[in-house]
Amino acid sequence: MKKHIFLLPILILTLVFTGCSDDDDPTPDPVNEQEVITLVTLTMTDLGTDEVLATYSWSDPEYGGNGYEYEGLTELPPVPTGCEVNAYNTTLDPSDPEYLVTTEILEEGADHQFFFSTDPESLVFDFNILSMGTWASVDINGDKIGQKCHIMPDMVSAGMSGTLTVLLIHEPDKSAEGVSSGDPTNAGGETDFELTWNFAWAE
Amino acid sequence: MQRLYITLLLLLNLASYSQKCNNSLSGKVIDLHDDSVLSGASIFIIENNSAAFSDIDGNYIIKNLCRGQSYSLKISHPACETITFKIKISGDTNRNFKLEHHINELNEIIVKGNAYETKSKSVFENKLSAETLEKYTTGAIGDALKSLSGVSSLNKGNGIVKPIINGLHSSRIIVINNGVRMQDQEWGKEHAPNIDVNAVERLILIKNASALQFGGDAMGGIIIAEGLKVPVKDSLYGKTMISGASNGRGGVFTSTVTKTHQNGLYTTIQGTLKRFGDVEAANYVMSNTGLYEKDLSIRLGLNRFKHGIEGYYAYYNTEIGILRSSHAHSAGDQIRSINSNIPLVVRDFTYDINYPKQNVTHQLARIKAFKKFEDYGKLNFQYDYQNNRRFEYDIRLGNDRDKPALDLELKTHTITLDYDSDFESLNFKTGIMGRFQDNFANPDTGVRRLIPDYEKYELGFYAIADYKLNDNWELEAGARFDYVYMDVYKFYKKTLWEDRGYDVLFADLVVDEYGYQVLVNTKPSFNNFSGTFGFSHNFSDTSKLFVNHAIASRAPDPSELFSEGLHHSIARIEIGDLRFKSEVGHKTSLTYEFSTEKHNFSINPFINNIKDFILVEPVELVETIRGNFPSWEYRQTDAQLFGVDIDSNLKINEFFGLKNQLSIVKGYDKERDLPLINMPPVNTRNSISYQNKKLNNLKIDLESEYVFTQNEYPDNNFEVFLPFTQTTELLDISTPPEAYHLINLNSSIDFKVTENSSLTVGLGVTNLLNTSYRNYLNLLRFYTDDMGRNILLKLKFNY
Repeated sequence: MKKHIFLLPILILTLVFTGCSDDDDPTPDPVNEQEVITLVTLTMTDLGTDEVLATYSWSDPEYGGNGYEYEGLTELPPVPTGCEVNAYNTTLDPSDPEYLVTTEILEEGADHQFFFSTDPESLVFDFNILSMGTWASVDINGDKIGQKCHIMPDMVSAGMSGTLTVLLIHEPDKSAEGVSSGDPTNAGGETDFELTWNFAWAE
Repeated sequence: MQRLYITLLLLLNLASYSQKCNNSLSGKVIDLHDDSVLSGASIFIIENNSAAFSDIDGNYIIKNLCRGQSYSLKISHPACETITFKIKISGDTNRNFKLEHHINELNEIIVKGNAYETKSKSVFENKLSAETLEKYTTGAIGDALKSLSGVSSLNKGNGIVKPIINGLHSSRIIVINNGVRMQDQEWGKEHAPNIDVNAVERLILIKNASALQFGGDAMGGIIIAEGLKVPVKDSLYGKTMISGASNGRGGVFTSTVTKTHQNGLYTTIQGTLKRFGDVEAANYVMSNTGLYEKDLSIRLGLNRFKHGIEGYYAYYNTEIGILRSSHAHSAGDQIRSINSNIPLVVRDFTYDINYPKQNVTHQLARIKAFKKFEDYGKLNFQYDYQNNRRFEYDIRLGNDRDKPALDLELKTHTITLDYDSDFESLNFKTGIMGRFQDNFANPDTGVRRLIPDYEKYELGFYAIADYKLNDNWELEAGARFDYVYMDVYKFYKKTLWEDRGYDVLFADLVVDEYGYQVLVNTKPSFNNFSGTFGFSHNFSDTSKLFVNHAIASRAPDPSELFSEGLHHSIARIEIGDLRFKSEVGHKTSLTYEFSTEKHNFSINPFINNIKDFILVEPVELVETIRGNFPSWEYRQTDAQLFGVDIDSNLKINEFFGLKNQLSIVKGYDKERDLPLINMPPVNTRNSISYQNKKLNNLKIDLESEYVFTQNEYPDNNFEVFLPFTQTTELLDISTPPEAYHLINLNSSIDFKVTENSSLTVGLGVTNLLNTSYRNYLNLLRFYTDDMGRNILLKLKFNY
């Protein structure tokens, strides 16, 4: 017994160092980032013709993107314009169901809300979020989601330019004061994204 | 007549002496380990060749001693090591002597390196006994440590309590649990030590790196947690504690049973169950701050005089809710949260623990053996394996809702071989340590790895000697060398890899490319020297000085080297640096201790100069999808910390006592001439206690704890532009909260149930006045007040 005690270190040393030999490939697998939003697009549609006028986007430079980009018209005709926001995870394969993050956002519509603002404020009269029709964007409780909206220009908007900010909040308190009318001040929750594009109306 | 004459002569005789020799020395002889009395111990006085023996209750009395004279005592007991002692008689003196069992001494080796001996001869050690620890049964080990001067804690809520020693924490502190150095991802600011406070019988704190046998990188200090000692006799005993707390509406059940045998075999089983719901601040519920902890430990051993072997296994699992409103997804969220006076989410009380939360399991298995060689000393061998599994859950979307955001498994194997010799006045220790560690970060989380996959190899040697020059002087010196080698596979984002110039510096390390990422295989290695020297000196029986200089070297930890990316929980980007070197710290500490029956006082100033100190600070705002985030980068600088800890105990009379504690620490970045972040503010604790042994050992203790405002802090605030409102707001993450004052009450009373069993009932109240306050060292201080009033009821059965 006494002598055997000190055979133990040798035994364990042998076990440890043989057990740790590089018999398997040590190269770790890359992580598929399932949750990140690496691309956000705003699609501006002519409500009369259903024609896409412009697509504004932001792709994350951290993931090899180019930041803010503008495609199509840089100045929109000053009439009610359809705006659809989509979020993507471009680190995944486009065939991956999580590639289009919008799907998940809408599935959990009650836990999400999009908020819009402009600078100057008078650039836009209102962002209308509808509860019926193809442009509807409300959750199962009838509360606003806002993934789609109608941008209503102000009387004085024509020829004005400024910026447009879109904010997506996860788990907002939709019953809090002002939230249903598009003010996120009391919404709580967490920001999923907050992006600001240049925005201009034609004369 | 003749008789009278003799008496007169005697009296005259006596009068002619300058001293009176009618004083007595009395007291008890006690077993050092369990405070049981020792009968039949001999107390021999060398000067006059007289002797006395302790009776069945351990009491002894020696009469006819002369006032003003010093005596050398030799106290021995058949089962114990003989001790010698010098005492000066200044009246009838009461003195208890503590002897150390031979048999238990074997046991000690089992509990790493002479557990009950001092760990370092030139450093004053602070200790917490089982009795004090029991006060913290419902808390964490860090809460108990905080009761020692010089220790504060870095908290994340109430469940996560990391000790800070003289201003330093995390990987700058070594935690030893039953002889095993804890490898529980201690680098993280929100990773608390994975030890059940109820499994600890004794906590020792060494406020520097002088105990080199445990490692050379303890810049801040070493915390040693030890288990129960077992006697060699046929016995069965145990302890069960049931506690309830009003705040969190939960409780703790903990129980220990030990079976011992005359032949040296012993078994101890200990378990704890701890459950709390949401904790309440003075005025509201802190939603999602529940806690559920399950612990079990088993010890099996054989204890003989010349050899022994022990196996130990400990399981620790805890699930801790993280305050719901502390989760900030953007700088804007954080500003809203900070600017709100109350947490943004306050829900009804619940026991449910939702996201965000942590779930950590730590398993520790250890085998230890020793052999004693006559005249040569002892040889100790230990092998331990630790498995640390950490899950951190975040607020997530859709299918990933229940997936952890962090899933790490850290496996560590350590082998140590130590030799310990004990010659007459020279004590020499030397040893070798080998360690292999494997970290695996599960990629299934769908979140980029915070800590990469790595393998780490460590090899260490040390030698320490202490030499007793004479009764009053003891010298100590030691040195240690550690070699650390890491083999790391890490995915970097190409943007960062290029921004930092790594693509040029470390081009040869790139193994593969995947889209926006590169896979890098880096193999950093570090050579660390550490050392200690010092002395202790007795000025008299009552006053003693300890002086020590310790050099500590610490290799950077994985977060300092490899952090890269966004921390959701603290809403900031953290970036480590591959090029870091080891930190080297020089700490000089001095302790003067004055101790009499009535008064106990110690003062401990220190200065700690650290070269290449690693700190993290905000450098710029980075634009991300969620708006602007401050980006924090790690940097090396030269730092200086200094301060003083003062402890004082005064026994007013048989019943009343006063206790006072004061800790001051200052820390500066020498290169930039700035204060260091998270330095504990000046704090002082004062208490008055009442104890009546005759009245069922009633104890009442009223404590005042005052924490000053931290006036020295680095300004890490940022002006952040919030696009939605088109405003710029201040992100104030620097300004420390106001000073606060808490009153705590603690009381207990003992009842004898049967001959061999007793019941202790304890009642305590922390934050008696339900003060609302925020603590600078609580990471959640931006979002919520600290804990409100808490009433604790505790029942303890000893059997």
